[in-house]
Order: sequence, then C-alpha cells, then structure tokens
Amino acid sequence: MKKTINSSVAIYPPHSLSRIMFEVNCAWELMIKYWRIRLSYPLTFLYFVSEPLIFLLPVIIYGQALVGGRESEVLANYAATSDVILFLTFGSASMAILTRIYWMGAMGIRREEWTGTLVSIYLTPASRFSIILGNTLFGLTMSVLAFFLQVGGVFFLYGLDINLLNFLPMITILFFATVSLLGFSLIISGLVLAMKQAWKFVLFMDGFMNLLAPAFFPLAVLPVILKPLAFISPITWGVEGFREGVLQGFSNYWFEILGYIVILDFIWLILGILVFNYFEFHTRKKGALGHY
Amino acid sequence: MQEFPIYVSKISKKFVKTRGSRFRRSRKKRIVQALDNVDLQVRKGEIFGLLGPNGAGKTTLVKILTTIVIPDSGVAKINGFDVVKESRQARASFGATIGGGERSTYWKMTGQENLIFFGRMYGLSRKKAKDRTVHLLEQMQLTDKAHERVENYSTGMKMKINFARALISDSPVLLFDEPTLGLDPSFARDLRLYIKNVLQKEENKTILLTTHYMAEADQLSDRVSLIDNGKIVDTATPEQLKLQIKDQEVIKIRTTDSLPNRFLEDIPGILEIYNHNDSIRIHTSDSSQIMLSVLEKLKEMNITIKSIDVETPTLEDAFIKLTGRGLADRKEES
Repeated sequence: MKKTINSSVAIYPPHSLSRIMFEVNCAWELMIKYWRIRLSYPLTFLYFVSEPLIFLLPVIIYGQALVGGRESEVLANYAATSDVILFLTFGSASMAILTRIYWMGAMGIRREEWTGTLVSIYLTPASRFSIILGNTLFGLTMSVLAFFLQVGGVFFLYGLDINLLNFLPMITILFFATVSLLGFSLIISGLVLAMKQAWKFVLFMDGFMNLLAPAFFPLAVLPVILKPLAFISPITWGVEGFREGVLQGFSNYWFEILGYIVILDFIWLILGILVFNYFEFHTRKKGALGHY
Repeated sequence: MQEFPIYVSKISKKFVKTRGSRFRRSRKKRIVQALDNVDLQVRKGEIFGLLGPNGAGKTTLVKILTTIVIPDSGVAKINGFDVVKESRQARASFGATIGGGERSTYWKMTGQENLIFFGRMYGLSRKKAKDRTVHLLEQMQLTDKAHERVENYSTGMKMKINFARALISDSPVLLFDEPTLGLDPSFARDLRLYIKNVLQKEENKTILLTTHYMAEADQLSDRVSLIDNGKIVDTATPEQLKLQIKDQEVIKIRTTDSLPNRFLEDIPGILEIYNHNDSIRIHTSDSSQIMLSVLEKLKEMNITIKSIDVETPTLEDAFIKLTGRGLADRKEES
C-alpha cells in the first residue's frame, strides 16, 4: 500500500513488500552508478580487473618451484586435490572475490564522504543499508568479472581440470558468505562514519583476514593460535567452501562449511546492523555527517 | 490533513567544539548553543524565510529538518512525520539543498545521469525520473549540457544541477539553505523568480529558505523569522518587521577606511548605530537634524567619505534594532 503525499513520491510502509522492492531498487541504482563512475576511469578499471591474475601468477610459479612440479602428495593429505595450481587458483580467486566484496561495502560510505555526495544520498529516503548493499553489489559484480579473467588466464596458461557443474555449490557459498561480509562491512562503515580515520582499520582488517584465509595453504596448517580468529572470519569459510565446492561439489564437508557460514551470517549481520545504527546515530547527534 | 507541513517546536541543539591537539592537555572543549528552544511553523504553500547572520543557527535547523543532525530536545516534523522517529518518511516528503552544494552531485556522471539517479533513489519510475529530468534541465537552462559530465560544468552550472536535484522528487516541501549563494547575479535573480512564480504560485510547494541576504528574504518570503545566536528573535511578514521602525530613517555612509567603534555615540538623536568595516548605518528619527554633526565628526577624524544615502529602513535595519548587530557580522558557524 502506498500513501502518496500530493506529489509523485511514495512513502512505503515499513516491512512491506513495496518497501523491500524500493530498497533493492536503490541498491541496484547505486551499483549502476558505481559502475558508471568506475568505467570513467578505464585504466583503474583495467587494473582492478586484471590485478588478481597478476597477483596469482607469481604464487603459482612459487608453488610449483616449492613442490617440484604440479602435483603434491603432501597437499593431497590436507586438501581435496594434489594439484597445486588448481588449489592456488581457486583459493586466490575466492579470496579476491570475498575481499573485494568486503572492501567495497566497507569503503562505500567513506567514498561518498570523499566525493562530497554523502549528504545528498542521505537526503533521499533510501535506507543506509541499501547504500552499503549497493556498494557490496558493485564489489561482487566487479570481482566476478575479475574471477573469470583470473581463472580464464590460468586455464589458458596451465589448463585446469574442473567440473562446470561444481559452479553451483561455489555460487551458493559465495551468496551466503556475502551476507556475512555485508554485516562485517556494516561494522566497519559505522566505525568509519564515527571516527573518519577508521578507514585505516579497513586496510588492517583486509590484511588480517587475508592472513587467516586459507587461500594459499590448507586450513589445517594454520598456526593454532590463529585458528580461533580464522573460524569467525567469513572469508576463511568462504574460501574453504568455495574451493571445496569446485573440487568436490556438494560434499559432506561442503555442507559443514555452509552450516558455519549460515551461523556467521546471523552473527555478523545482526552485529553489523547494531554497530552501524549506534555509530550512525552518534555521528548525526554530533553533527559530523559528511565531515572528512 | 497536517496543518503545518513544516513544524518545529522547542528545538535545541548544542555542539561540543574542541580546540588544540587531542594529545595535549591544553585541549579545550567548549559548548556552542547552536539552537535554543526554536519554534517555527510554516503553512502550506508558504515561502518562509529564515534570516540571520552566518553562525546564527540557520544551517543547523535545516540539517535537523533534513534528518542529517539529531536535535538534543524538541520536536520537528516534515509533512507530519517526526524527523527523528520517522526520518525515512520525512525524507520522502522533502527536497533540499544544504550549503553551496557544488560537490553534491557526481562529477563523473552527466547532469542527466545524476538527476535520473537521484529520482530513482526517491522511488520514481525510470520513465518518470527521465521526464522530470528533461523538464528540470530545461528549467535550469542546462538542456544542451545534459550529456556532459558535471566535472566540465562551471560553478554556477554545478549549483543549478544541485538545485534541480532537490526538485527531482517533486516533493511537497522544499528546504533551501542559502539557495543563491555563489550564483551569478543574473541566475540568482532568475532562481528567485522561479521559486516565487513556479514553485510557490504554480506548484503550491511549502518552502523554507535560509539566507543572510536581506533582499532575498524580503523579496521571496511571505513570513520571515529573524534568528540570532540560535534564538528566533521575531517572526512576522517582512512588512510588519519593517513597520517596527517605520518612523526611522537610515543614514548609510561608506568610507575609504574602516571606522572605529562607538565614535558617534555622543551625538544626540542617534537611535542605533551599526558599524561594519567601511560602512555605517545610523538609525535616527530625523536625518537632517544629525547629518551635520555626523559629517563634522568624520571630518574631525580625517575620514574620507565615499557615499552618503538616506534610506527607508530595510529588513536588515529591523534585524539591527532587534539584535544590536547586522547580518554581515560573522560568528563561528555551528
């Protein structure tokens, strides 16, 4: 039901389907807007899309040098494959996707502050979460493009033995991991709104979560002291589940990972909404919105 | 039916300002009372001016009404929606510009893309957003620049596209914070006419505009609130405010140098003096009676006169009478 107010603008009742559709629409428009802006910098765009492949190639060469070829029996004891290149490629590809989703979501508010458009966006009836979701969608779509370039590049150079049907479990993991990362991005966005310099924290967390993510090593070999932290990081399980999906399809371990991710989704999303709302309220109370 | 599309009751807001490095003990905190029990009601279809010098609290009030700042106490409603408790519904009810707004749109997108984008963010269908965009670009005389990136626009054109952004949603309530600040005089005049003739008379919008330009408030507003130090000093029509000093004349003197304070205080017959840089406004009931004494005093002090005018009182003079200071006086913006 829409209540119109003597104008073409509609006010959607809270928790209604029309409201949800409106918010999804806003997130979509924001994503399109980010794409327009990103494509206006063609070299930057090319860099971001090709960077994962350029980053991966030395790792593959290093991995091959380390095990003396492509196959490793030691790796097979820890992971679902003995193929070092396959292991590294999908570890790296999944980490690149998930990190970028987190990065774009967390930096969305800050980027609007930098360009001076945060207040303009805040004047519209769109939810703050839609703003972050729009950024996250942009990160997701851009990193999926980078993923195909990365995997396609490795396929072209080395060849990869993969079952295309296993893309389904991979996409499922990607979807659920994105929810956790959205919650994580909300926390960081709230901190960035309130503290401005907190965006350095985005950088720190990016590096730290990459350290914990089993992209270039099996999770089992992670030092014991870091394991509790790795277990609560959505990127850890995203990478693990993504690669398990590609290598084994819907295996028991894959379902186990999915279970972890769904639990993390609830924790991170609820925590994210609470933290973001708290910091956003206090920023508006201080009158510091849009300051940078 | 909401009687007042813009309703403000007992709104107060304090800010904590800090000075010095956060790592030093000497860091000082002080409380700035930006708004103090402000009451204001704007009727449907009315243009309401909020007139005051920089730092008087005008922008803070607009930021509260636009949900950007949360007040410490009091109630503010837009179109019947509480700006704190029903902020999303309130935001759907207004279009607004805050500050100059040169950077309020995306420079890497064209004017048309910007307006369609913001229209969509208000829930307009793609077709409606596009139609509104075409209409507004025409109104703002930017049709031929529609497909150019905003980064290539002049400052004035950027301000126009920001103004169009505020109108894209066709909202019933409009909040303009210093709408003509930074515009060239010709477009500022056109914009004032547009606000009066189109937005008010044709489209019956309810408009709150803040300004420190006395002539703008006088020309546009049906009613004006004078605001100073976060307090509403008086609310009336521009004519009623000027009537308060109808028996007075104003001698306006411009000099080549800055004038010392209080140097004319001992001349009898002067009711009010407002001294700002190289100009002075003297309120008196009879200009001919004091003119000679004033000129002698200036000659005595070796001050060169650029011009002397005797004027009928303006809104600014009403402001001076009520607050003891002029609109050009600056205070730290809160």
